[in-house]
Amino acid sequence: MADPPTPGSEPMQPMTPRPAWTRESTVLRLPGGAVSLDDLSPEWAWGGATGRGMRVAIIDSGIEASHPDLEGCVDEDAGVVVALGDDGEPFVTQQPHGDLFGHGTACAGIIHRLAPEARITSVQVLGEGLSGKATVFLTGLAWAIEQGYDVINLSLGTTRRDWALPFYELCDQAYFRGSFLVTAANNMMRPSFPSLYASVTSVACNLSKDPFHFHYNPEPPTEFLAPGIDVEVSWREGTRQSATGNSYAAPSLAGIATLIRSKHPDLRPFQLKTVLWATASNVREASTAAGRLTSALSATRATAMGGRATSALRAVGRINM
Amino acid sequence: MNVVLQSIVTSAGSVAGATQGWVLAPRPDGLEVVAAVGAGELIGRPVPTEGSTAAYVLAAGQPVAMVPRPDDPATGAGVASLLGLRPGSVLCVPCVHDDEVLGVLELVDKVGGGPFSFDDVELVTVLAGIAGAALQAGGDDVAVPTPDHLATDLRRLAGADPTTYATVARAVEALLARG
Repeated sequence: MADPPTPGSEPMQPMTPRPAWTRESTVLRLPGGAVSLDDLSPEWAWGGATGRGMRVAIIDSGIEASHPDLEGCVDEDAGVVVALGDDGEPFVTQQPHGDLFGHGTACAGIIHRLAPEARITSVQVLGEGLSGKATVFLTGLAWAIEQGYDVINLSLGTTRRDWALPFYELCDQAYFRGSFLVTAANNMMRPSFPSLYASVTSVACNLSKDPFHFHYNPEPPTEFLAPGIDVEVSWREGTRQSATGNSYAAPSLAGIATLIRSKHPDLRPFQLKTVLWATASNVREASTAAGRLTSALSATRATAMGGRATSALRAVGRINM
Repeated sequence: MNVVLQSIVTSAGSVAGATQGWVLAPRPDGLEVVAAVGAGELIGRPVPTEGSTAAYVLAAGQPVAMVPRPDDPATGAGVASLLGLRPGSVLCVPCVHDDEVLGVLELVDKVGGGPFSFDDVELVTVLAGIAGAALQAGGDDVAVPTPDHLATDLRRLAGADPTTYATVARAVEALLARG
C-alpha cells in the first residue's frame, strides 16, 4: 500500500495554459467548410440575413427608443448612461434614457434599416448640455466591450493625444474579445482616436445612396467608404431629417457588418473585415483576387489624384457612383 | 473684436454660401459667440447649449451638416434661440488645434435653400482649423465687451474708486442709454 501523498509531493502542474501557438494543429481546425476568396459574395456574406441574434451598442448622445422608425429594436433597460461623478471619475448607470441631441437615434435608425432583427443598446456618453469628456467616452467603450457586444458603433472620437494609449489598449481588447468596432473617420488629416487604429474599422463617406454599395479604401487608416451624404435619418422627438457626415457612414457599414455577423457568427473581427473587403463594390468589380487588389488600388488612386487634397477623405479618394 | 476670427467666419460664410454664421468658444457655463457674420450683435453673448448642434459638435469632434425639420424642437436651439431663428440648413464643424477642440464654427441657411454640400463641409473644416489656431492664441479674449458687460464693469470700478471712474461711468452709461 502506497504511502498517502504528503503535502507538496503532488506532480507539478503547469502554472498557466500553454500559449495558443504551441497547440496541436487539430484544435486549430476551423468549423464548417473551407471558404475561398471567390466564395465571398454578397449572397454568401449577408444573403437572407436580418441581424437576428446580434447585439449592437451605439456609443453616442443616447437613443430615443420610442421613435417609430426603430420599431422597438432598442433594449431600453440594457442602456447605460456614463457620467462624471463629483470626484471627477466616470461611472456607469444602467437606466432607460432618451437622446440629448438626435445623433444616436440617427445611428440606430441606419443600423435598424439594414439589420432589422438586431437588438440595439444605447451607451450615452454625453452629459447635460451635451458636454463630453474623453474619459467618459473611454468608459462607455470599455463597458460595451466588457458586455461582449457583437458590433459597437462609435461616431465620436477625441483628438487628445494623451488619450491615444488608453483607447489603443481598449480597441485591441475589443479585437481579441471579438467585438467589431466601427468608427467614423475624421474629416481632416489629423489624429482622432480611436479611428486611427488597425483594430477598428474606420469609415468615411462615398457618394452612393445604396448602403450595400460600400467601398474599400486601400489607403488606411480609413479602410471603407459608405453612404453618409444627404442621408435621411431618424431624429429626436420622432422626427427625421437629412444629414451629412462621416458619422452617418459609420453606422451604415456597422449595419452591414451586423448582417454578416448574424449569418456567420464565428467570424473574428479581422475575418469580418476581410469579408467586407471582398464584398465592397470596387473590389467585386475586379475579376481576380490579385486583380481586385491591383485594380481597386489603381482606381482609387486615380480618383485621389484628380481631386483636391484638402482632407483625409480627398486624399484617400472619393469614389463617384 | 478678434479680426482673425471675424475674417474666418466671414470667409466661411462666403465660400459655403451661408446667410449667417458664428464662431463659438466654450466657457465654464456654456458657449459664447466670439465672432459672427450676419449677426454681429451676438458677439460676446452667452449661448444656451441644451440640444444644440454646436454643443454636440464640440463634444463629439465631428462635423455635422443637416437640414432640420421645422417641427424639430432642436431646430431653434443654440444661437438660433437668441435670434428667434429656425434655420433651414445647418453646417457646424469643430475648431481644432493642437489636439484640442477649442470651439465650433457654425453656418446656417444656405443661400438659395437646400443643404450644405460635402464640399462645404470640407472647405469650412479647413477654415475652422485656422479658427482653432486663433482660439488657442487666446484671441477671443480681446473680443469687444457688450454694452451691458461694459456698464457692469464700469459700475464695479466706480464703486471701488469713485474719484477716478465715477464720472466716466456716468458718461458711458448716458451714451449707452442714448443707444
